[in-house]
Amino acid sequence: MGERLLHDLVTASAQRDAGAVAVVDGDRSITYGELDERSSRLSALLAAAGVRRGDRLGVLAEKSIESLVAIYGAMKAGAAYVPLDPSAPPARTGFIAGDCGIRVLASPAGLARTWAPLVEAGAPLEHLVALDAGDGTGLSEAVPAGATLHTGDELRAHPARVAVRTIDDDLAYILYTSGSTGAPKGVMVSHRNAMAFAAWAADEFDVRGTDRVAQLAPLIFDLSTFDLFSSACAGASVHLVGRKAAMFPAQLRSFVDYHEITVVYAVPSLLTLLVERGKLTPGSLPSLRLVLFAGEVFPTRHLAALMRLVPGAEYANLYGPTETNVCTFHRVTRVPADDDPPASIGVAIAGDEAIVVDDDGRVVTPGEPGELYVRGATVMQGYWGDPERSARTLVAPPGVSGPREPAYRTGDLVREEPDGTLTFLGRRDNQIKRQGYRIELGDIEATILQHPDVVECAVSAVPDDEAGARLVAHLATKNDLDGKAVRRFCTDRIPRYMVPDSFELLDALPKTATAKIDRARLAKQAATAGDSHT
Amino acid sequence: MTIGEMTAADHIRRFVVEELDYVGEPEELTGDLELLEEGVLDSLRIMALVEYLEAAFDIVIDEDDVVAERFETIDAIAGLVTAKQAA
Repeated sequence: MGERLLHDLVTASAQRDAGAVAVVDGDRSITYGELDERSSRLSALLAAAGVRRGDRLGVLAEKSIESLVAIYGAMKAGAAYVPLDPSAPPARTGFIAGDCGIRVLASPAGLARTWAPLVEAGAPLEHLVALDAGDGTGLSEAVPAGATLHTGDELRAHPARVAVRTIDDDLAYILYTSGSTGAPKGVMVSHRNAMAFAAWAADEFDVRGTDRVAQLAPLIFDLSTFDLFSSACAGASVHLVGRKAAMFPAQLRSFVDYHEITVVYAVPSLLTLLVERGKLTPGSLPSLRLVLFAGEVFPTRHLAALMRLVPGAEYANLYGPTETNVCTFHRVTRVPADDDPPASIGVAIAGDEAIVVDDDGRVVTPGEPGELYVRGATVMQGYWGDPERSARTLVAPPGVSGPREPAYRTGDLVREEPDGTLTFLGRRDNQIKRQGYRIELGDIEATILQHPDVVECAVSAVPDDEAGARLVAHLATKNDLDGKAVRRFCTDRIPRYMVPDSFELLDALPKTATAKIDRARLAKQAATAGDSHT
Repeated sequence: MTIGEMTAADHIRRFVVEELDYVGEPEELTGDLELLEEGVLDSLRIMALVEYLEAAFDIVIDEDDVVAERFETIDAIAGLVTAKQAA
């Protein structure tokens, strides 16, 4: 496989077998030949709309055939795609669109009512591409003033064109993740970065054209890059699992059985739900040959239960923040005991290097804990529009001489074991994982503190077996502001997964001897308090 | 209001508002509001709701009944409860 650009994977798969199924979306499907053709037409349409190499195309959509056409069409037009969460508040999505200058947005007609609020929230939209809208009838009112609507009919009339010439250092996508200051930050990933992971995974896990890969993660999540691009490497079919179906374990079990899914890549909380509520019996899901998980620690007893119930599959723990995509991995080859420590994060993937560094920036001796720095082909290009933050996290690699490609400081604490594998120990800071989503507690606090009647605020994370973490906001307020109003304030500004589960009102937050908010004490209180105070 | 005067839908609505962190205005929580589309329910809230329904209505809800079409709206959930009570 000699391709260096993600969209060339689709073209190559189409040339090998144009009739092979590329994407299954409910009762619709599209072949690699059609996906290649339609994305090429879209790139021509985008070029006509003024999209140039280096631009960004927003994709505000639930996963669908059209979303994938938009992703590949963007890249063929030389642009990076920026997936946007249709369930996130317009204020946050508008901020992201403004931050990276999204002038062209692909979004289905069903989400037309969200377009105008986005513009009000700062999105500089000039073109809207609604591929599911035939001729755009009934949509004219929804199109913000000054923006042009492009429809499915227009796409069909556009002849395909060859992809705009790009190189593998050009950006393929930007994924926004929780920042610590109340504003999300855009992780810039080049084709080379993405391809290093996709090709490695396709090779390591022997993904083939006969594989049927369930696409579970939202497109805003880097797990989706395996589903899309490792599948495209091999010409495997991608089976889209809608947001709703992923909420219901029994439905997910039926989905895997019905489509004879061979590969799943999921966050542990979803697999835990499947184990606990999916009515699996030993020998269930016989089509599955590979189960990959990442995004958070998989509680060992749930992993063990899954491995016993679905014994025919291979299992691997993939590790890495969005900034590095997957950078280490570990194959779980035997069923662990329920009280074993969580699965190792293993060793660096081909092309990456893991360096464990102490607080003074020196490489530790094996066995000593330290912060994990990662260097190599999968490491991001930096944060969009934030060279300062990029320079803080992409640093000269300690202990490496010669050409010095930067290393990314993960903020994760790890230890190298005698056998050379890495053990994840925890975080250096206030970042947590919840249902696989990465959340900076400071991001939530900064949002709550924008409320004029909030005097003080701290957010604690209480470990939770099923959700990963439960969030408790501790508040001191004035003017009789109650928890319910603060909750509503949050849901208008941050995604649901970041909104605290409970809001605890205090006269004042406890302080340490140095007059800082006593977070340790609040976290302890929250952990022992049990039931929520809403 | 006594328990007897409340319909299954009323109980479900009360539970969603009081226990599942519903953030909208209660009167917007109509019987046909799309709970999954609008993000009122997610996987963990669905589990909490199932446990509540089983306890409050003394019914058993099989995992195979916990599917999207049964939980789309308050009316759909109330229909599931009625069907289980009749079973």
